Amino acid sequence: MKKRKGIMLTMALMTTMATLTTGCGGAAESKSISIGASFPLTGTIAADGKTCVDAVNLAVKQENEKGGIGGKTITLVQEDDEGSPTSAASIANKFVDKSDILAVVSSYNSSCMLAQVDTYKGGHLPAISPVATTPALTGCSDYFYRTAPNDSDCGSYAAEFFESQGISKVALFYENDDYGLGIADAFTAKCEELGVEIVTVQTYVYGETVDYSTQLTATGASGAEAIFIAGCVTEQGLICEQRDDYGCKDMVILCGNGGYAPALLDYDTEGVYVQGEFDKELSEKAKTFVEEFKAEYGYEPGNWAASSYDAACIVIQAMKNCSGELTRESINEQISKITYEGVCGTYSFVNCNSSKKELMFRVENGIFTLMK
Amino acid sequence: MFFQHLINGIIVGGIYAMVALGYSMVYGVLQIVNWAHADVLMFATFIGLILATKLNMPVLVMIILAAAFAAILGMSVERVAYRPIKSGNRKMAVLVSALGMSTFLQNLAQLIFGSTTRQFKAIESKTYMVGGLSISNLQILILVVTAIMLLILYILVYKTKVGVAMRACSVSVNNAKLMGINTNLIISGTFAIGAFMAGVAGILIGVYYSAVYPTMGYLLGMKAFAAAILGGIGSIMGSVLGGFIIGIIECLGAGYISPAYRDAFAFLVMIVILVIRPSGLMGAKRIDKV
Repeated sequence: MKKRKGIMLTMALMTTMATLTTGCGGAAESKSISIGASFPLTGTIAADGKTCVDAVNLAVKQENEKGGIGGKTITLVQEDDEGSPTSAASIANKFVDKSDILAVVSSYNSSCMLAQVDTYKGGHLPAISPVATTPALTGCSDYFYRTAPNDSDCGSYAAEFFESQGISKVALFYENDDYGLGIADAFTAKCEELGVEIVTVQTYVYGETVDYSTQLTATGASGAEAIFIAGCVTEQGLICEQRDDYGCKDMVILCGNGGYAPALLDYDTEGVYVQGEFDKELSEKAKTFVEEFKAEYGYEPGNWAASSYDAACIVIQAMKNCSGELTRESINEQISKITYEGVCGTYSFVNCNSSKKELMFRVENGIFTLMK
Repeated sequence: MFFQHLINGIIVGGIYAMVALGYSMVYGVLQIVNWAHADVLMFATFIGLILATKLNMPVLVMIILAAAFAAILGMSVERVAYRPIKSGNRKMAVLVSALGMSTFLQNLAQLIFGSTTRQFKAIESKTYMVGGLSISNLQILILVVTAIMLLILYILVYKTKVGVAMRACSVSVNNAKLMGINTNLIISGTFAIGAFMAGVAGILIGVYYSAVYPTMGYLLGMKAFAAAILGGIGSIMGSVLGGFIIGIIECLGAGYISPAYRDAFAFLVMIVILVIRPSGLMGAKRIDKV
């Protein structure tokens, strides 16, 4: 009797599994194509995550209004990774398991992206990140791409800028995490090569440090002519705001690309140089994007919104380029050989990285002005 | 550069001292740690920010009003979260209630004000050079206000009848009650005074760094609590001394060794002193009778 119960149970289970498998097969042939999006929507960087999701949503919405891909509408599956690698990793598994998700736009934090990238590789699911900038992601997977700049490019670019301005002594400020360190390392290496002397190195903690008195005091006494800040916008703003009190008033300040956001303009940053990748005057396409984004969400898109928009558009373009059946593999192949004209410039991917150019801006009369 | 670091240290030290007093006084009277103290500070700073930016109030009025708000909030915290459960020997319950209150206030602030860092530009910053050292008007303001607040507190505690009652409560609440002291009133008053000083400190630090955000109380509160412990919790003079020691050591350590370990220096000093003097620099030995 016991044995028979066991057999019946096994049979029941098998039937259920069979039904489930057919269920999945059915979903793949449904009318809709899904794109996954994993961004921090709660927590301290929720505002930044939201602007990325808004941009991705806009791209998807515009495509659907044009009729979608081969008559199929695109559905965006949004997940909140809270900026935490643990949540990000479980979201990646979820995306890989959902067979109707054919591509992913993810994630904001480099650490989250690092936690996800192998899962996507294992699931043959192409992923494209608009913001994850760490050099550790370069060439890490055949299924990963980024419209985000690479930190090592940003660091070298900053060093070249100082050299071109005839500045020979600089102070380096960096936030003590992967992002800050990645830029700082590249910056230090390039400075050595170009003969720019780093007279003092100061660190701070992202999201925590508000008092820069000791760092700025040391900088004021170091004889530096300029400060380079590898970090995010709030900290950069605070450093600019506080520098006057410690004898750093006349130094040239350059903020890494984390600072290319409207929030920086709220601080005392007149004359400060900022690296960025998106110029809204660059092309007609960029202008249209800014207008459409503003009309949809009521605020101006920044660097990362533009990058996210491009990432989503590249995924959509790759889907359109697919001639045969639309699968994860075919989309991945299309992304890998794409050349796409986005709002930030022209993209093509080598070793995960895009060919997008770094730009230099200066805060003049309270707005970012592109330097030639 | 040494003197510049020293000035920076004295200024943050003064802030720590003002916040530490709140922890210390409440502990002196009730033997509980008021974890919500730093969050009351954060709330008051936001109120100050709103008064200054939305209503364009003069700085002095703004500070007093916001600190008064802190005092009321501090008293309410005591009324809501501590008084109902403090009867009997339930210190653990009060501790948990305090942590809960802290989390509640922090989340409430995120809900109301959002989680982004706001700027606080109530006073235009000017820098003066004095003998090779640069000092700003904000730093002078912080020093002056801290000195005035500490002086007022000293007079209140050691020269007035209320002060005598407070000190009596800190020796023994029950005995003070027997002597005809309205202990509930004194306890409320202690919370109010501590919160008032924290409110002032919060606004000063908010303006000084030009940063106000819902979690601003956390690290500040931790350092101030370390200062109170280091000086001997329950002792007013000890807290002030502890605040300045922590402020100066962390600035010198950050300046000469590495700014990355700034917070570590503050807590390291506390641990070292506690190993040498377990009851703090000026704390009286208290024997817990079980």
